[in-house]
Amino acid sequence: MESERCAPADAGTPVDAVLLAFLSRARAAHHLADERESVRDTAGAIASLSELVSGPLPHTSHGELAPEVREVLADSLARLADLQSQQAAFEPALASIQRGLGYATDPNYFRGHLLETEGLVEERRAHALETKDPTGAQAAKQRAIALLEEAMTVQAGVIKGATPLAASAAIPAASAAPH
Amino acid sequence: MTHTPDSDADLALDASEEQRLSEALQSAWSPRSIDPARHERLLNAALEDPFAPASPEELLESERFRQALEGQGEHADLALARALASAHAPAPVPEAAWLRASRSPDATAKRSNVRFVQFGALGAALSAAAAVLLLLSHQSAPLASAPAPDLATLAQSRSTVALFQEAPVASASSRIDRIASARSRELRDNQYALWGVR
Repeated sequence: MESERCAPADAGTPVDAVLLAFLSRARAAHHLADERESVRDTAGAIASLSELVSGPLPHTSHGELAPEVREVLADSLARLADLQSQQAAFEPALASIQRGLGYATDPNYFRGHLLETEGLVEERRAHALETKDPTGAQAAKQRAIALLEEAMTVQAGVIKGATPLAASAAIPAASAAPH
Repeated sequence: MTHTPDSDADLALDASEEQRLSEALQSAWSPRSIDPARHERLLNAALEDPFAPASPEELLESERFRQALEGQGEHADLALARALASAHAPAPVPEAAWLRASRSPDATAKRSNVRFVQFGALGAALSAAAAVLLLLSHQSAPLASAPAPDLATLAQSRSTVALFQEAPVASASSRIDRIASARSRELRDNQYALWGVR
């Protein structure tokens, strides 16, 4: 199913047990977050993902992070930001987004998803400010619109750059869920 | 199994030995199916209960074998595993060893344990080769002569975007599930390749 990409940014090292240890940890953290969200324990879900993104990271012999690690971190930080903004923790949410964008520098699905989530965070902030700070709410709304448009542009590029089969299916459920 | 021939005559095999070795190589390369009844008799003879869970002794033995494949310690079955793997998927003969062996058998014999086997009538798979060079493992260092895998042939760390092009998933949990499963399979393949048994 998976087609190989040979872009220089993808040049890696052999898949090894240390990479798998990180992926295993990430998988466990997301499933823990699922369990906690299912009982409306948003703080618990945030704790699971925070532990993942602040925990040990596997570096290559060149001191870099593998593409899988950067993408999983970007995806995890997007989910974390969404949960944080659900609790009106907008500044931590935006900090998570900025950190995620640092991992997702290529215009791929993960970067588009982070921009989309950032737009949703700003949208939530606009709603939260509507009564007590209409000016701030308007500014947040404008940022949300700009970010959502940027997310659409990135994802459009992803779809156009994919094979015809992939384009018809769209890339990982781009807007279906914020996490 | 080590042998250091001193002359061309010493390199030759007698007819029965050649036939036995040829059949062994052919069986390793393209094994024939075994009669089911005979297979069951073999299992019954070898195992008291072939479908029973592994015993602690069997688990210990398999762990010893795994460690031996990784170069830690020795195991009685290691040479057989290497021989079968080499017969099924022979590694390229290092150029230096090939040149040494083909230009000066005597000189080679003094420095290594390289051996030529000339085959008469082999099956289709083996008849394409005029000669087979066997690099026999030294028993005290069984992994030293194992073919080193070309690292470029191992599954490489790379972007996961392609994992989702044909079948998108909606949640972050589902995405990490797919990423971890795919890379887990690749790690297993890499491990077998490093062991030299695939």
